Amino acid sequence: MMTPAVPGRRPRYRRVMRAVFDALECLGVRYFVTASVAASVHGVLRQSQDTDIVLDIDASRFGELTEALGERCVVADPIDFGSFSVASIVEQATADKVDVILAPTGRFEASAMERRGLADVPGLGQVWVASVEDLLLAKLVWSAGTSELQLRDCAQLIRLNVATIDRSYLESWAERLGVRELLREIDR
Amino acid sequence: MMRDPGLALQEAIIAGMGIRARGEERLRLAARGKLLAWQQVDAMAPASELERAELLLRRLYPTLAERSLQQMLVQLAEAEAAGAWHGFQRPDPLSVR
Repeated sequence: MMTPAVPGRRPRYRRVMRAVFDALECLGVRYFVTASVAASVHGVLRQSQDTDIVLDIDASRFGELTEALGERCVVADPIDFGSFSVASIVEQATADKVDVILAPTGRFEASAMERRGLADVPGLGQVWVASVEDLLLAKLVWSAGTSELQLRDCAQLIRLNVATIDRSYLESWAERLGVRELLREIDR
Repeated sequence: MMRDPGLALQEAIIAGMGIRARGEERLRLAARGKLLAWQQVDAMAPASELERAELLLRRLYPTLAERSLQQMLVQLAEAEAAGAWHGFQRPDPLSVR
């Protein structure tokens, strides 16, 4: 599903987002884009005003990112959710926002980081994006079995990517993440 | 889960758009959402750029944690006092299809 950047084309970058990706690359921090942007790469369109990025650094290194961004942004400190933290960055000029998910420590997140893929995303440029299987699994977890929209997205992701999806990986992690029944339900 | 035939058609159209067209459409939807938020904020006639910023951020990002919002507003107030920030740039309505 993912495609290489098209040489010669000039995508309309949203500045704060490109600045964040440039800063991450300068700092050598691995990341992947998830949620609505990743969904659009894999076939599902959802309106969203912000971009969610998973980083493999913990909150102690968040300052390096904000320092690299300089004074063009206002930043909310990471909020601790136990196994991960979430911080928000808003560009002073445009009010565009990026949410960064810091140091998810589980094996699933480590696996998702290994399986990310490069995609040329309008508004962002060439960025690392969550694989369809990892996006689907994350959405199943986020849904907590109750979010109709998340579950509908999951069903759609499976239908659209049925020819290429890694069933073995999906089912194995669904079991470990406790969402096997949800997966069966949407996959009927 | 019962499938809505209209939804199935919509899914097929969106899936057939390709990554680039879907990404452009996502940007267009976001731009329209931002423009609508600006219009709602303008209708409330905020008394200052900082108040406008708070109203705008609340509309654009309703799930943003209150403490995160307040922390950002403090930074915007400091930037405004230092002459480094004069409010968020208003989107051009003509640029949004």
